[in-house]
Amino acid sequence: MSTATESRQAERRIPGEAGLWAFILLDLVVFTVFFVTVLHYRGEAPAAFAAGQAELHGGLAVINTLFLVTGSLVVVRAVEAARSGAVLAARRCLTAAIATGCGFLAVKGLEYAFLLSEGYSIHDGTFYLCYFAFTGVHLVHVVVATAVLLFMRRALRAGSSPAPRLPLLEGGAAYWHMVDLLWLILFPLLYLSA
Amino acid sequence: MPIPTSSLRSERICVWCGLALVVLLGVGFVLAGLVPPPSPASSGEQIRDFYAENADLKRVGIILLSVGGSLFLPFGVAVAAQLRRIEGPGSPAAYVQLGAATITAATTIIYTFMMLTLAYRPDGRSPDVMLALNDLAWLPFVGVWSPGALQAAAVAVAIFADRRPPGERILPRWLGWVSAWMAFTSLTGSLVPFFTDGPFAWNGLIGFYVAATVFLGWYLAVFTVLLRTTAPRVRGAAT
Repeated sequence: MSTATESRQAERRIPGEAGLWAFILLDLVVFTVFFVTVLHYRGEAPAAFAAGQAELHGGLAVINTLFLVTGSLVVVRAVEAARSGAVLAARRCLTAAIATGCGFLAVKGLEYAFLLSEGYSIHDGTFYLCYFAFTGVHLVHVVVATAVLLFMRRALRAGSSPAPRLPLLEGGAAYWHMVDLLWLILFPLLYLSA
Repeated sequence: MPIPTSSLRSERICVWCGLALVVLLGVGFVLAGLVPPPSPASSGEQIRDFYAENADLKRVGIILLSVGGSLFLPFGVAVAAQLRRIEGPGSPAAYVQLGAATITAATTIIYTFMMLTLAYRPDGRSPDVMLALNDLAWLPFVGVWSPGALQAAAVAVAIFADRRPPGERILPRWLGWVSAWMAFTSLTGSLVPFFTDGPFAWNGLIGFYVAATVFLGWYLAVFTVLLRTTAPRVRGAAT
């Protein structure tokens, strides 16, 4: 890379790379449509939404919220560590973040299993449609985000400089934060609002 | 070996097929009265009435859909030409992309065959047959997302594999991200078979409108980039 490009990048300071933000913004647009859909159906059937929310396992969702927020925190620490050249510390933080991702997946699986065994499915009215469809789409995002963290950890090798890997780390971190952010909107919308 | 000018001109025509297919599909859908599509919750009688109404206009619109659908193929060739420039000999992503584009062309034509059959003699058919044919046409048309996602994923893979310095890249990195996003978002189409009404049904807000915007939007994005990428090559070769 030429020094001219480097200095230009230093001036702009976009974490990761600019193109990734197209991905993130487009994803946020689609999720905005999802959120508006939830609000629309809640407006149509507030009583059914309140009844549905009462049946959800809120405690598990709180644990999952803690998982994702903790994940965001350690991902930030990982990027900071990598910036200062501390590869091992960065890898440790990423391992912790991967654990929070796996924790989220496990708890979500448990939550789905409880609801399904209690006889609820995606076909039981608009509340359960929104609940299963949108948490499901979000779950796929968590799977991808966790896989990205694994990829990031693999990219950091002990003994070699993490500097060339910083765009990848920042990009992966930005994606994780987006997935976290989406959950922070989805969680009150589905579990708390009625 | 330099590419002959005549080949570059043909390639340019293939690029324009990208815009043509979006226009033909859009006009075809509107002309045939397929926006919104017939509801999956309809009875056989309602489906029969739907295709009997303005049958000639429906036929014209559906024919436009099949013409637009066939253009997925030449546009896939235009994309493949750029992916081959990135990849060089071997060019696995270019082949996968073209194969996927061919599947999209072929299946779109098959769905329009079914729709033409539906509009052919709606009055003479039993409602049950109309209902089955309508399901057979629309459920996969809207709900099968894998060929389109495969095509976009191949484009993303090729772009991310481009190791040239930023100024010399064949296709911009943002198109790789948009393609990856298109492929990823297509997964939502998996929900279409589960519903006969609501936002994920084949006539729903997300199942149809959002999906169609994402799908056609991706073709427009790739078209815009290819238009710019191929323009200097044609001029350069002509002088």
